[in-house]
Amino acid sequence: MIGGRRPISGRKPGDKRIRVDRVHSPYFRYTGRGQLTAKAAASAPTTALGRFNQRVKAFLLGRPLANEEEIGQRLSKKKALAIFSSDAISSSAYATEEIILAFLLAGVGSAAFSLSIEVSVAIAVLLGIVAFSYRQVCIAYPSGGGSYSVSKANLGRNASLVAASALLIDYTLTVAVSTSSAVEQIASAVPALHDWTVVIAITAIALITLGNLRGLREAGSIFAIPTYLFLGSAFLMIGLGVFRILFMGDTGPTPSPAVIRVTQETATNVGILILLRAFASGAVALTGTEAIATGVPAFEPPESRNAARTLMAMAIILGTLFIGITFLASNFHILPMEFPKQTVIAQIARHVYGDTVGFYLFQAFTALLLFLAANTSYIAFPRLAAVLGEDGFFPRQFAFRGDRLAFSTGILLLGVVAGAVVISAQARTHALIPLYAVGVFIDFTIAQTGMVRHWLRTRELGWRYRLAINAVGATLTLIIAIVVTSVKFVDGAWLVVVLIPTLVAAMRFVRRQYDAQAKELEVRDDLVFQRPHREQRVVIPVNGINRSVVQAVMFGKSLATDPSLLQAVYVTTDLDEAELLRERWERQLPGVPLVVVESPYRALVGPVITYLDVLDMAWPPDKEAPTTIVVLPEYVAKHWWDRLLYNQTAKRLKGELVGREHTVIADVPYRRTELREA
Amino acid sequence: MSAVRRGRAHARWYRGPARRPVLGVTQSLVRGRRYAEVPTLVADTSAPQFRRAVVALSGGRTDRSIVALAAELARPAKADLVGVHVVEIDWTLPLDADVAGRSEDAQRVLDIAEATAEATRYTLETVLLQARDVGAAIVDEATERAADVIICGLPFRRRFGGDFAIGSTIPYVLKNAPCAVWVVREAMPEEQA
Repeated sequence: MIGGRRPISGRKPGDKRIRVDRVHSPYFRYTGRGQLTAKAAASAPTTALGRFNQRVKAFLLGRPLANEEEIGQRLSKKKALAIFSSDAISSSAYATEEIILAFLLAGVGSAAFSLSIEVSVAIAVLLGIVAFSYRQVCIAYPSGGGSYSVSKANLGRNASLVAASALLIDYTLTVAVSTSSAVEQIASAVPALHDWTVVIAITAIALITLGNLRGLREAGSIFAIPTYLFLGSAFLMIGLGVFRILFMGDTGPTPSPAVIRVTQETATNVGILILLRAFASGAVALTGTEAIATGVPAFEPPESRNAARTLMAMAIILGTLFIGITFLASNFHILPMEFPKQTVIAQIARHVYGDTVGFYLFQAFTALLLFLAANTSYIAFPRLAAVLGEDGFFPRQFAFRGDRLAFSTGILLLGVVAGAVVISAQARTHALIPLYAVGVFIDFTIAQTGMVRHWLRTRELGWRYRLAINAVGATLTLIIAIVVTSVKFVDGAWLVVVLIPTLVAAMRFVRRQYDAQAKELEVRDDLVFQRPHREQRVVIPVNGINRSVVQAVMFGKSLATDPSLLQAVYVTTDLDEAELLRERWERQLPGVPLVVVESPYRALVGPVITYLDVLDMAWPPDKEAPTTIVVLPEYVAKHWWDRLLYNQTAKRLKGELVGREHTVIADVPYRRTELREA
Repeated sequence: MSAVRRGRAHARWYRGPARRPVLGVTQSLVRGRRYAEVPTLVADTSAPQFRRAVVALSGGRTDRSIVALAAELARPAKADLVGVHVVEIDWTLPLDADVAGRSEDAQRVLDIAEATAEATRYTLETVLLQARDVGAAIVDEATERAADVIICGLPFRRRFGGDFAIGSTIPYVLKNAPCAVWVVREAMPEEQA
């Protein structure tokens, strides 16, 4: 009979069959020879508290997903342009404002109207060169050419860690800057929300974090919509604005006193340093350019060609937007306003669309795009952290996927750090910009230099031409990185300059720890392990004779390699009681010596530990030290509140024994249900 | 699917869900009257429906395809699918010898079938049996579970390279099953076609 089942009779006499219990079936599935795959039920909680926790988690994050439920969607060029370019395109919402602010803060406000177009054109040219350089990355690395992977393959560990650190900072700042700018756009449309910007930004970051913990995917069409809505309304605004400037002589809204004062200034004292500061501020428009090169595998085949074309399309769109918005700002004589907060792009939109629904829609689309840009970092940051985790530079838990297949640890870290950055900057985009561009240009430089090495190493068809493009890109971005760091150093770039080496050192430290651990645990490939070579000594601390102790003693007997190496230890303050126990012990548990340790100072744990030390010291020095197995009888409480009443001494003893040399702790649990059965 | 149905002399193409389990005889009601005897050819493009099917799993090449097929056909009526694998116990061992329970191979046959059904987003109940005769066990299990259909897979094999070999299980099932039996034979290998 199997599993208590009797044969079942069939329709014909003699036809019998037996149903075999498949006990593993609810929890596991055989998927190969000697290979089981756990089902969801295998990791289901068994306690009431665990089930409650799981329900709460499922409510907040959704049901756990299996590995095979991961969506591997390929993106068309149109969709990829919207999804990968949201970060880059969204920077056009604040890049112009940063150029104007750079002139204003330098005390040459009139230059904001006369020179900002030239500065924006220079940045657009730089964008073209960087995009053209990254085009080569798309072609050379169809599996995705982030700065980290390109530099790891071509420039070695240190350069790749610098790139990774710069990227991590860049992604964090993308969240902080995009969210802050989005909130500023909202406050520009609804000035009543001005005092709530930090709260709104933190709430938005919390919601985006939660959404990503739920396994939000960037590939859905819904994510492409905000980008195209913004592009449509922004190009319409630029078209209408340019028409009004060129054909209607529109010079902008009624000038404010600040604008009148600024327009009366002369821009004769604009030095090269001020121009460089304006250029460095506006260079934030280039952030996010590398996203397409990183995401080449997500494109439809032929991946490299599609990615390269999308990248160039993105550069043209961003360049046009940026120059167009700057052209409108300078011709409409628009300056950013702090109280009430009015961003430059919001003022342009209000002037072009009027105080109509068109203006509010444009602001909504801009804010949406900026939130989407923040969301792209939630995809890239955890992925990079996971790669670093796999490479041993980050704690390994960053490489583990959570219940919803998302890299939960990385997502949480990004959310917390970005939130802290937003709070410290009081959700002001301008306060964050000096930190932003530095890491971006360091990344560009490392990636382009890596590509130069790549072409020199591989010497593929057309390598000279490609090498020249990347060499120009590397040189130019290096110069810009130096310029940006120098002119923004005091404003906050120093923080990035300090943070990057700190992160590199931290990552190297983590890697060293993992390397040391791996070396310590390494097993030589040629060794064959037959049987344990150390003798096993078993020591059972007891508190009397009871079922739990007897069970532990029986278990200890099975472990001792030699009966003489088995003993029970009883620590007591009352020798009379100990004598009574000894008499009973010898009668009921013969063959297991009981050592009584009197403790006049009433300590229980210390004497046991010291007794083990003494046993070690007494071991013949010419023999290899034995493995000491401390068997702890443990009474398993039925309720959580029971646990306070039992096993407290055993817990303390366990705490003291953890990490002791050649010592193994064996808990022998005794459950109350067994009491009833016995 | 096309089905020969009995209806009025004016034949018509009918498209729509079957009104009763198609297995066995499909009866049609036209204008409230039962026309049972006048033969008419009607092409029925709806999927055949059943309430419960026993899928006989041999652990062979056809298992995945018959499970996927059964899942697709079961979906419209949300029918129950029962995957049955029988481990044949020869007469040298008692019938209740612990053979199938210890056999990882037997468990795997059912687990793979279960996973195949899940991949098509359908649930397959699995049953592992020990019996002296595979065919009898399948028929008896289907009978006990009141299945409408038994679905079997049949690999294309030749006996010593000669005649097509159908084995003994499928003829037994075809001969003795009280319900409908669908046999899905795998394609003939190219070199033999």
